[in-house]
Order: sequence, then structure tokens, then C-alpha cells
Amino acid sequence: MLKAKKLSVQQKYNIIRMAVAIGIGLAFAILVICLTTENPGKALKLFFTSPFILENGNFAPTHVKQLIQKIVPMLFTGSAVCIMFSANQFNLGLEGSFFMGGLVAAVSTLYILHGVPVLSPLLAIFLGGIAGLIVMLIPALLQRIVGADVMVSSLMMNYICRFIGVWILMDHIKDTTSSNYTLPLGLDASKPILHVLDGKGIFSTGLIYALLFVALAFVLLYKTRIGYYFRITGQNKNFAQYAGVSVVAVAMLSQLIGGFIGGVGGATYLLSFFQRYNWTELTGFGWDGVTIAIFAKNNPKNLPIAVLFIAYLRVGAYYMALSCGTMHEITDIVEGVIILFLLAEQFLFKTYKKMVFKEANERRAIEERKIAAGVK
Amino acid sequence: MEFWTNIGIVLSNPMFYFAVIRLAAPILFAAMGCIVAQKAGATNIGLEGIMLMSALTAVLVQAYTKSIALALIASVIVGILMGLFIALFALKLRVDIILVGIAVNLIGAGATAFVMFLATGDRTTTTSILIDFFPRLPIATSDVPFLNFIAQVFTGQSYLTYLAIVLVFVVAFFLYKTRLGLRIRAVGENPDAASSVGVSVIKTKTIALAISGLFGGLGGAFMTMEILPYFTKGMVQGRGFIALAACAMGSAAPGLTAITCVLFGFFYAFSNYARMLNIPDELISMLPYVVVIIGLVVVSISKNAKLKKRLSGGTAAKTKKN
Repeated sequence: MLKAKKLSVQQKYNIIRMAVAIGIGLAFAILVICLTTENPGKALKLFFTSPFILENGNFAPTHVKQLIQKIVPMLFTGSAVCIMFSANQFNLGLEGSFFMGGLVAAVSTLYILHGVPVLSPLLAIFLGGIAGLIVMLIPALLQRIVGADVMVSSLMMNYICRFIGVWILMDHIKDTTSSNYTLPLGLDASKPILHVLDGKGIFSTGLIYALLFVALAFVLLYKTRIGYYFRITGQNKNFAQYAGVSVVAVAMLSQLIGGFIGGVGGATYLLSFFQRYNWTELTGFGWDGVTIAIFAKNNPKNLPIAVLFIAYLRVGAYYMALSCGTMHEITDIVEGVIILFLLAEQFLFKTYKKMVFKEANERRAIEERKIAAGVK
Repeated sequence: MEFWTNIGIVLSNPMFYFAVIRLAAPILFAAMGCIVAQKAGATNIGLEGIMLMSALTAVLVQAYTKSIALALIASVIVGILMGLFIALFALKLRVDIILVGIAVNLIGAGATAFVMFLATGDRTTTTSILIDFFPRLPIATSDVPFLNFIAQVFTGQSYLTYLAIVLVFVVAFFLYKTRLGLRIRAVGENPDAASSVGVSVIKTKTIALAISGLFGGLGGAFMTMEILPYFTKGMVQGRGFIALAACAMGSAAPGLTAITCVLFGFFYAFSNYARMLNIPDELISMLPYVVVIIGLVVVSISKNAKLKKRLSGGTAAKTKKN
């Protein structure tokens, strides 16, 4: 039998804090649903079961498909933010990277290499990644060269990307007979690489790509020297500098990798779930990446569970809103509340103190007993 | 050639400049809020969410009480409360203030959509209740063409717009001529020094964030009491972030920031005329954001140059001494 590893006080405290934060968020959601819907029982049942089960109790493949459609992009943006936040880089341009990744993937599949199995989607995804990288590179370079605030310029980049995207779509690549759609991307050609498991219409190769990138992000951050540099720079920039880490290189590299993953995410998302390109608004997945990275404590290892949690909440809320006369936006509030309590250092601090004292007292008691036994 | 004549027509139209000022006002409010927080060393990225909440509050309170004044007061109170909320989590519970801001934006987007549905049954736009605009100054006219032009630009605006303009001077006075303003700046520049002379850092920052929320609330109220007579989901459209950018571009100085805000107003107004000029309106809409980045670069370069000058001046003086 495997012996359960004994948890340190700190780990126990972290688990308690996370449980309490999620509990507060969910309790808030349940309370609001109970107070505001006519049939709270039905609403809550839908909220918690609809991602997998239809109202009549049968398995719901379309709901699961929707779940996966939310999980795939968030896994990408979550990994990207984990890497950037681990190195303490508050670049908020991921929204733009993701958007540009999708746009460039569309242009690539339509005009650069159309309809070649395997190669078309791979090239599109690669170019999407490069586009995402460039979007991040601009604010990062400006920060490096002239010291322009990276947060502000990256926020602006998001809007610039959106407007460039809409302009290219509307004035250049739109199918002239449609409102805002391009010609079909030709997914049939890319089936061998992208929709291998698409038999039942649930699974998507996009999910495999996403998990692959999560794994890569984990390996990078926790199993390589570069990742170690990222993390110590994030924890203590001065220490890292004195230890000989090039803080500048870390800042640049972490943002570029983040941007690349964001762009790959946008491209994969487009190729996996869209027949034609029609993005006119920012997707919001870039911001979700921040939420998810916080939930996962910046460790890609925790991403799948964090993403599943948020995607589950959202799909549940969506179907609840459809049939119970409420708004799915309630999940935004829940996420915001959970973020705040997860991050609140001082939250439950007294409990932590008590736990530390209790642990210390117990240890002392044991030692005293040992000493007493020794004396005897 | 036609393009330039059209631009000429746009730029010689007093209504264009009227729109510039009107569209700059909400950004001006939020940017002033951003300045006060920034001076206290707190980046208030949650202004976007605060503006949304206040905008909805203004609509709902006016719909229920039929009072414009109460609506304004209520939205300001919501702004202050959100400022205090940010202070609570950022200062008392020690969450990174950027992340608190992101959470506030999330909560703001969610809560407004949710409350709108509860209160009105509308899912995207509160078209079931249209509210009255904040009163406007009567339009003045003059027989002298030049004065008439000026009058057409500056009169007939909402009283809130004038409030925004006055606010720039108030904020400048407040920050540089009052005791609290001095404290706010001291806390922002060197918290340790400030606390060593008995200024409570947390208290001062909390006050600054509350004021920041107040101005954000005014900006939000402006959205529904002057720009549109109803609330729609996400109607602030990044103005909170734009204000943040204006503040960064103006180096958190009220005057410079106000000029930047007017520049944004110019581009917003210009994008309304883009179709007439035969330029893709997406590209015009993109301009303000491009301008921010260029502006940031220029400001940073000039700052660096000043710093260098000061540093080299310093070493020169030192070498002379030696």
C-alpha cells in the first residue's frame, strides 16, 4: 500500500483556504439562484448536472461537446498565463495573441496552403503561434527599450488586434455573399490531423493539442533550468539578478512563449470548432487565462482541473439560464469572488496561526514525552 | 482630393468639436480617478467594472425614483463602495491590486448583466426603460461667426461635461495644494518615508481608492445620463482601460492627462465620421489605441532623457567637487 504523504501545515492551510474560497463562491451562486429563480430546485439541478446530463436524465453529447469547446482554448491561455505570471510578467495582451492566432490560421488555411492533409493545419497552427508571439513582442520590446508600461500597451494591443482582424475579415477575406464569414476553411482536408477521434462528434484533436501544451508548459516551468530561472525571477527579481539570472532575458522569453502558446491556442480553437472564420469580437479567453492561472496557482499541473471546473460552471450556468429564466453571467461573479478569496493572503490568517501553534504544541508534547520516557 | 475636402468639411464643423468634448468627458472622469489612485501608488485597473456598475445604477435608480439627482448620487455611491472594495482586498487582505482590478471587472460585467435581468427582465439592453439625460446648458448663439462657432462647441453640453472639465482643476488643486493631496503623493512616492512621519499608508491609499471609485462612478453615470439613455451589456467598451492609458500617457499629471483624454475624444468623434470619408471605420477606431502606444513610447523616451540629463548633471557636479 502507498503511504499517504503527510501534509505540512502550510499545505493543509492552502487546501482549506482553497476549499473555503470555492465554497464561498458556490454558496453565493446557490443563494442568488435560490432567491431569484422561480424554481430553484430545477435551476440548481440544471446548474450542476447539465454539462453531462439532459433534463430527461440521458447522456448529453452536445453539452459535453460544448464543455470541450470551452476547455480547449482555456487550457492554452491558462498555460500561457502560468508561464508569464510565474516570471511575474503582467502582460495582458493574451486576448490579442489568441485573436490574431485565429485570424492568421484562417488566412493560412485559406490562402497559403489550402486543403493539404496534415500540413495545412500544422502550418496554420504554427503561423498562428508566430502571430501571437509578435503581438506579445511589441509591448515587451517597448518595455525593454524605452520602458513603456507593459500592462497598458498590452491592453491597447488587444484592441488593435481586434480592429485589424475585423478590417481584414470585412475588407479582404470575407466571402462576399455572406455577412461576416470567410469561405469554408476546408476541415475535411485537415481531418487526419485534427478530427481523428471525431467519430461521435464529441472529441476533438484540439483537446489533445491543448493537453500537450499544458504538459510542455509544466515541463518547461518545473523540469528545465529556464523554467527555474522564470520562477525565481518571479519570486524575487533581485535575488535572481544577484544569482546571475538575466532578468531581462527571462522577461522577454516568458512573454514570447506566452504569446506563442496564445496564438497556437487561437489557431487550434479556430480549426477545431469553426467551419468558417467569423470572429468580430475578442473571445475573452485571454482574460480567462488569468482567472485559470490564479485557480491553478500558476502551476500547469493544476490546469486541467481548474479549467474543467470553470468550463463546467459555465456550461451548467448556460443551460440553467436557457430554461430557468436567469442569466449565465452569474458565473463571472462567482469566478471574481473566488479569485479574490483565493488570493487574499490575510484571509483565514488567524486559522493559519492557530494551525501552526497547534502543530508546534503537538510536536512539543511528543518531544516532552520522549524526554520523559528517556529519563525513566 | 475628395478625401481632403471631406476631412475639411468634418474639421470645420462645430458639431464635430462638440462631439469631441462630449466623448472625452467620460474618459476624463475615469482618468482623474486613475490619477488619484496612481499618485497613491495604486493602479486601479478596475475602473472598467466600476463604470459599468455605476452606469446601470444610474438607469435603475432613475427608473424607480424618477429623480436624476438621486440617480447621480446613487451611482457615485456605488463607485465609492467599489473603490473601498478594492482597498479592502488589495490593502487589508493583501491581494495584488492588478488582480483585484481584474476580479472587479469580472464581477462588474457579471453583476450588471445579472442585476439588469432581475430588475428589468431584459437580457442585453434595458430598452424597456429609457431614462432622461442629465440636464444640458441651453445653447447660446452669437452674431459674430467666430464666437458663434465657439458657442456651438462649448454650450449646450450636459452639465456633467462641464463638471468633468472643472474636475481637472479640482484634482490638480487637490493633489498639489491640499494636505490630503500631499499625503497621497507622499504615500505613492515613498510609503516608508510617509509612514515614518506618521502618515497612515493604508488609510491614505484607501481614501485615494475611494476617490478614484467616486470619479469612476461619475464616468459610469455619464455613460447612461448623456451618451445613451439606457444600459446595454458591456457599454463602457474599454473606456476604463483607455482612461488608464490616458493616465499613463499623461504621466499621471492632471493637465497632460486631460489633453490626452481630449485626444481620445477626437478619435472617437472622428470614427463616427469615418464612413463619410471612405476610410474603413475599423482602422479609424483602431487609431486611439495606436496613439496610446506611440504616446507611451514618446513619454517614456522623454522621461528617460530627463533622467539621464539629471544623472549626468549629478555626476558632473560630483566630479567638479572632487
